[in-house]
Amino acid sequence: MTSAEFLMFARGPMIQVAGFVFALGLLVRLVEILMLGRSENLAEKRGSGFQGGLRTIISRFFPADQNTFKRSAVTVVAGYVFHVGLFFIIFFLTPHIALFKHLVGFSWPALSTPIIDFLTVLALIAMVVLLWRRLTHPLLKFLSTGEDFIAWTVTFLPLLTGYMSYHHLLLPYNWLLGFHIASVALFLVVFPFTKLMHTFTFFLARWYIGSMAGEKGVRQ
Amino acid sequence: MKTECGSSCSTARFEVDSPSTMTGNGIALLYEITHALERYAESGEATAIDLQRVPLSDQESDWMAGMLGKGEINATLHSMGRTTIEETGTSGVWRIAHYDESEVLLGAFIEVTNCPELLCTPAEDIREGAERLKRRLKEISEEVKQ
Amino acid sequence: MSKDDSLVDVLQRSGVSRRGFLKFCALTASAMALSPAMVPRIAAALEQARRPSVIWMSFQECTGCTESLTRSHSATIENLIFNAISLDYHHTLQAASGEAAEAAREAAMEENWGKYLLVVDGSIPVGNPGFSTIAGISNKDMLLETARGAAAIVAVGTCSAYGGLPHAAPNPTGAVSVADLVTDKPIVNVPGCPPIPVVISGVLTHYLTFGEIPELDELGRPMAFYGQNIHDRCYRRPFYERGQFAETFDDEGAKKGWCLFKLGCKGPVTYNACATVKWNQGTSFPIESGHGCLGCSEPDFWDMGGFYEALSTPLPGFNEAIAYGTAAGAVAGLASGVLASRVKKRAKDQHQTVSVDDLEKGESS
Repeated sequence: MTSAEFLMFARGPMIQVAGFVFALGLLVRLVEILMLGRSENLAEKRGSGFQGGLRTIISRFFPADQNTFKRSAVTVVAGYVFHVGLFFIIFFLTPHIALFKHLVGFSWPALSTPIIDFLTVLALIAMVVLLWRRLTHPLLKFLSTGEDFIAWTVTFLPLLTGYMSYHHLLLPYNWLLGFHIASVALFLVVFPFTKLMHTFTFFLARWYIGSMAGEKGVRQ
Repeated sequence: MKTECGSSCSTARFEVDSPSTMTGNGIALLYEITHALERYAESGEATAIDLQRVPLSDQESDWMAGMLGKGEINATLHSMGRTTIEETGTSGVWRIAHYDESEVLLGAFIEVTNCPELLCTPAEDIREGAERLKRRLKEISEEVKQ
Repeated sequence: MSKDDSLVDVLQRSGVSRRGFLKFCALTASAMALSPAMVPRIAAALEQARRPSVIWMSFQECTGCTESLTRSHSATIENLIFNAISLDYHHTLQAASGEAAEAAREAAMEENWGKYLLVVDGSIPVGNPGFSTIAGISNKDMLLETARGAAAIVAVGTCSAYGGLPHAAPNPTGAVSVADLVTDKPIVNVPGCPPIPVVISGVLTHYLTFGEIPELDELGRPMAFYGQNIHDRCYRRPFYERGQFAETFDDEGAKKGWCLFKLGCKGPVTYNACATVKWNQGTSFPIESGHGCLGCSEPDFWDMGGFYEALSTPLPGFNEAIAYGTAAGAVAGLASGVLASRVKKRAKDQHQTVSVDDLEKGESS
């Protein structure tokens, strides 16, 4: 197989199958969760569940207390760097925006490539730090399962191959772009069946917690 | 490859931002030439650079020409079209441009040497020249005898 | 002109001096994308070079490749090269036709068996031999027969190199490339739609000079001309880095000459010499004229997902895959949800309440 054939295969059948599996798995799991619903709250409402839910979704984006930060500063900092970086890399690199435009029909302004490049380096470093911590911290090590390492790998690979493609490292660009797309395909297939689902479910979880608290009249 | 472009090709062009002014190839080329000069001074090893392999913007070419300056020698070879051979103001750096019969620029080179080979007379041509002149003198002396 | 003439004889007869020969060698090195340091070697090789016999076959093609070559600009050099080869068969260019042309081909093949250079443009239909024939001979038969006696084959144009346009989905004629049919001969692919004229002549010159084919990449293309990426050599690259893109062909960005990535430029995956050698006497190349690269020197460039679709978009079918996946997922999720709520309801229905009294009764008994 030549690099050109591989690239065509990655841009064609491979990503199509991955996209199908991703959409299917994602929808099954989200619909299941939503249909399961919550048990009825019989207590008298003392506040707005809607407001509480919304507030929690937003407020939990920010570090809640000094204590958590003090206890696991590495996880907090590296976690933020990696997640924020990933968000901008996925949604604000020009080639990615072109992909979303192809999918949804509209686009938005991009960040310049050197900024994305910088964020990628940061995200890669942060991910390595997080992995190292998972492997060395006794409690994290005890709690870690194979799934954690699978999730880490399939997230790390697209970042790495994307960075390599942009800088033409080691291999001709066609191969690198092909591998980048292939690694994204792997990510998409693994996504719905692992903890990577938190990308979507954290909204639900925060909403439930927030609305329960809101209905009980908890003030933040 | 760049064509000489006179007033004949003044077609309308968009005013474009020109990132090519910053290709960086011009300055890199000047460094390469400097190293070639040092090498020549040390070991007598000549260097030739094919300008077609180095994409330069027009501004960059002009800038380079200015940096190298204008020299004392300017020769033209007439074989398969014109070829201009000129030394730049930087001694030892020659610019050679080959044209075809219809004055289309075919290739341009920078040579770092004390004298480009194209200027030197080929040894065979010297032998042939000597023979031709000898023959000619013989013919004349025979004419005189008659 | 005798077949045994060397290139130097041809040059001398054209009144070219020794300095002229040196000039020719320098330009030849340049045309072959070789370093000027190679000039003495080229001069020595050319003094030895014999006129090779060339047979040019055109199959499913548009004559664009021949047009490109015959319109090649540096008339002097290319003419000398073509005077230096013996083009024994090219049915588009030659005066003879039909049986006379075929006779010339057969004569050239017989006389130079094992030594001639075969140049092919156009793809070969294998779906049905009748799709394309010359003098009643199918393209496939003619290629296989002529290839047997060739020293090397040059596949000029994307059609003969990779199947090209005729090979585009759904490939109605079953078009294939030369390399798909001939596997036991050295083949140089010179793709492009059409290839750059000086690249075609550069490859022919290389063969003429050194009597062997140049160094090739994984797709059989000469490294000297196809070793570099259009995107890497593009003068618009700095705009890509800065994130300045033309969004349409007539917006402010397009007028300012910004990067054409979003308009479907395939420069990043295309290997060719356009950005350095350029076209039309070095005037410009497609990107310089404001249009993205089509990737015409790459296999299946016609099916790369649309000339005006950005390279990062998937090939057609992705959006549909997502849509089907979403629909199927929603249905499956609903079904699973209904099932789960049924189970939940049944469990609730079967739930029996137990009071403290009941428990105490149970304990005492």
